[in-house]
Amino acid sequence: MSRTVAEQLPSRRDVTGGVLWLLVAAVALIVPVVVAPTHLDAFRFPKEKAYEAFAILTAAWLAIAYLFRGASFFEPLRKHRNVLVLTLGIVVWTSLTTLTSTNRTLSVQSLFWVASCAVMFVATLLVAEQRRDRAVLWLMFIPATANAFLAVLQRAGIYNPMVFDERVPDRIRTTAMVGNPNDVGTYLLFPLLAAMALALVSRSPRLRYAMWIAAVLLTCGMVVTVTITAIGALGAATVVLLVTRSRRSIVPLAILAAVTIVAVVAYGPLRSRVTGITANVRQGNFLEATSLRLPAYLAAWEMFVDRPLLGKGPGTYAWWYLPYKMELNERNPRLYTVAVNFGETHNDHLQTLAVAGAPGYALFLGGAVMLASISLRRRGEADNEKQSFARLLALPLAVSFLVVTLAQFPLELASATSVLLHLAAVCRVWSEPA
Amino acid sequence: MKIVKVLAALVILTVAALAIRRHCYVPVRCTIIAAEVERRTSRLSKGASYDIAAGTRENLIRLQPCIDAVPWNVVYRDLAAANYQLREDHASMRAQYEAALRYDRRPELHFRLGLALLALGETEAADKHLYTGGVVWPDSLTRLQQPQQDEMLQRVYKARQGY
Repeated sequence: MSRTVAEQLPSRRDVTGGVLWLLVAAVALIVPVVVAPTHLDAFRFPKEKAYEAFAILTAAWLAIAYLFRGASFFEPLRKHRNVLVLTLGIVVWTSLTTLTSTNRTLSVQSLFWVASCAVMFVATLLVAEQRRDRAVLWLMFIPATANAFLAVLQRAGIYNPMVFDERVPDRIRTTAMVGNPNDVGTYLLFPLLAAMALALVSRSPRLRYAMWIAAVLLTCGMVVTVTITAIGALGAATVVLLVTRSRRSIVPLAILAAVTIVAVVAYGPLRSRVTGITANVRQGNFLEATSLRLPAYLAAWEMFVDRPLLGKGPGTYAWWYLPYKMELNERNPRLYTVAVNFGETHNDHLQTLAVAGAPGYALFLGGAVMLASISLRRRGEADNEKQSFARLLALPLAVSFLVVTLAQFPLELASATSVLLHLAAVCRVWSEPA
Repeated sequence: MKIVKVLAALVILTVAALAIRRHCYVPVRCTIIAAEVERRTSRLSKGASYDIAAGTRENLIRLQPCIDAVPWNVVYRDLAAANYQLREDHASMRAQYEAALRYDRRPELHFRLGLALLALGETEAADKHLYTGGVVWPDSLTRLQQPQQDEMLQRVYKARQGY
């Protein structure tokens, strides 16, 4: 575990593997910080297109690797057959639902996104298998901590590189390099869990301290975004971490939990948001309690009910939202007051059901279960630090994903999806003996 | 054999480069064009009328490749329609909004299509789109002329009350 970063980089001889390593590293480093201030959409769209561009390059490189190195280059993937079958299943189902889509032009864009995610996931599996180094994990913390630091500076009013209209509230100005505050909170959730897990399993004091510092910084970044769902997901995942881990980990985790609770109580904007939601739930104002997202949820459910097997087609939620909202308005005039045209459901469970039907949702759950199952394996005697990390992180990661997708949409955000897939692939590979 | 592999690799890289250009670079480049055209359109709408014909023509020429390459992003059609509106070419404006609604059904697109149809004298069709846009986005109704504004506001108000 004392190898330097230079030693962990690919050897000079293995050019094919080295280039693949660089592509995966570039995605981990670059995608979460891609910003295009002069564009109409400065954050989400450029990130998505950067991710897709890297995925095309990666796919091309994998094809070239096959040409020159043959099937032996892909040999390490053999032991991940189940994961590959699930990944292929997701791509095949997305293709099928694209063919049967109610709007094929829109669905093709989503298919392209899903295929890009699949390529990057497989490439990360391969890189993690071939290199077995920790750099593949560390790289991810660089943009994550940079984004968390910027979010804190923005919220504290110290520094904000983005220009906003005076009427824009402080919370919305907390964009980091990710987008709106909810995107930031959702994105930071996954690296934060990874930092906590690494801090807990690391035998090196230096790495342990570095990871705790990163975890505190990432927590601060998440708290200042006031993203309740991400904070809730963090809470749920932390409980799972506590349960999974031995007693000696309870102290640092309890401290972190205490810091988060104190932050909720002491940090005015977060406190007022939590008390506001609680009051609305008590009074039965579910429309307000869900930040007016109820029509988005209801519309998604109605779409699923109308086409339960195939869904409306990938990427068509926004296109169908208004007609369904008009019907919902007729049935419940109170919903007329929601003057928001939702482009996403803000609930990936329901959105997957709406656009990909029940089999699509089964694949969605299958992915989470397969990730969680890494933690549920029996520990062998040969458990090393990496295995401990993977087995500790996988279940909380899956839990946090299932919770955060209840009111956010990480699967539609390149920043969150890229880091989630990266961690899932690393967990998968590291959980197995080398 | 090796030369064949090298050639095949070159073909793969060329296809990848073309795919990146088509699926990633052009859509991103188009968002820059759209931001520029949006600023120019906004200036034209406040400027002197003698600028409009030339300015909007230039805008429409710049937008057309984006409309062709990225049809699912309705921002380009929306901007094109705004330029047609400045040219008082309501038929083209209508065509742009009708095409945009095939990919996105934002209330503002419905509302603006309603305005185009109104200008073309198709009041019945206009009414449907104005209501759809207005009921979700009531602020837009203030852009209507009287007495239509009051009429539509009343309908929206009644709907919201559950009548």
